[in-house]
Amino acid sequence: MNWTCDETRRHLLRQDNLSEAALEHLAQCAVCQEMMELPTDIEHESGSNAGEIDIAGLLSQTELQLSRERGLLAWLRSRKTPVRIALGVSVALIPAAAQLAFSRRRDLGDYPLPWLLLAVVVYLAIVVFATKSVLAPLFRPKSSLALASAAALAFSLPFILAALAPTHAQPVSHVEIQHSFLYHAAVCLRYGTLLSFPTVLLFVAMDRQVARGRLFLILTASIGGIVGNFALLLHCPNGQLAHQLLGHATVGLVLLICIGAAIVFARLRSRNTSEGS
Amino acid sequence: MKSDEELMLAYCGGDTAAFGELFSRYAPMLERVLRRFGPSKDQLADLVQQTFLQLHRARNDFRPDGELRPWLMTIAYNLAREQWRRARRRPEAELDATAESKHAHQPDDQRRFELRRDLSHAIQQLPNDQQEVVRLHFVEELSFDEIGEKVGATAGAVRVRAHRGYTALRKLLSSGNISDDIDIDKGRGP
Repeated sequence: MNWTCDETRRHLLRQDNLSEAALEHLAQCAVCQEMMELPTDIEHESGSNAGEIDIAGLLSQTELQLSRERGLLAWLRSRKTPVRIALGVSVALIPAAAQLAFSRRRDLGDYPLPWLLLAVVVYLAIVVFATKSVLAPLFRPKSSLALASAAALAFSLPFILAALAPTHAQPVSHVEIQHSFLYHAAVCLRYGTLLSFPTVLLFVAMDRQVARGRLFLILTASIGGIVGNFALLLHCPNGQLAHQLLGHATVGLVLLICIGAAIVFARLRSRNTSEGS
Repeated sequence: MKSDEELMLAYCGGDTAAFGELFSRYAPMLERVLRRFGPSKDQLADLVQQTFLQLHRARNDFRPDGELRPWLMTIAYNLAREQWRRARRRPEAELDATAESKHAHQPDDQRRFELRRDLSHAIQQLPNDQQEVVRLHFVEELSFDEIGEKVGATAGAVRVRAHRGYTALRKLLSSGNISDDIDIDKGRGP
């Protein structure tokens, strides 16, 4: 999968195939970027089935597109990357802070403190790491592997923490079991999902790309999942493993399904619109 | 004439005319480079347009002491990579067109000869240390490690020299300011 400078040179001299790995390497390698700009044979042989593009016409279209870049969304997208990251992390922490301030779990005093601190530190670290990955600008080289690792980590973390969460040192029950297990799980799932929705929307709004990749969507849903889990950790005293897994850890999965459904809906709608016109 | 960076800073400061100037300077170059990846005409136009849209959206990230060219090229390559990834998942037609294009339009021998002659002349106009590295890398097709062993430098130092050499080479070739008074067979510039 690794592409080297020697392969770029080979491509230039012999028209070898270019792959995604080549593009990943080119985005990171100053030497190859310069090599690719050398006018060599390959440039004149079309290299593609594209004819000349109308530069003046394209400039008009681009300027028209830029004239639509107004309002809150455009403002958010054009903020400096550190500002977008700080804003993303801040908004991601609001639900947890709100739970702590207004709706903290009744057993917080009995809950094992080291575990609580560990969970908080891990959640904070992964929120920062995932936010930096998802909002990384295009002028910085993006490693697919790093992005995929961040997505996998952020998505699986709530399940891992739920599975490892300890029970209380003293067997106390702060949960009033009035309804079925599924009912309690559904209530937590809905609560966590609702709390994480603003963060997901903000991340989508701050993203600068027109066409978003799968990894972006998975990572955004996963960040939402962490936000929901973090808030639920500080809110819900039900420590049952099954409840933790089904009611808390699946927030990210629900968000992913919601985002996927929204994309499918948008695609179907745009297809129907184009067929109708 | 304003430099690319000055134009970019002027655009960040609200000078919309600077955007047109940057577009005129870079769109043809982006078209030439991105064409190598085999996109259709529409995909190519879209890639160029998206690159400039990203330039606009990321304009506040541009550092006054930074260079515009690598900044813009990295955006373009990252966009091309994502388009390539999408095309791989989509209807075969897009990829078929790409594959088919690899065999299309062979350059004529005269043009090929002229390009190689220009390249050779331009290499000979480089400073000796850069010329040596570029020649060994591009013409003799040695790796940076092998070149390092040959010239008694580390692979990293050779890479830096190659980068400078290719930058100078690209500037020479794009300006058309290449001296013909060089003996190609001699293999070395003045």
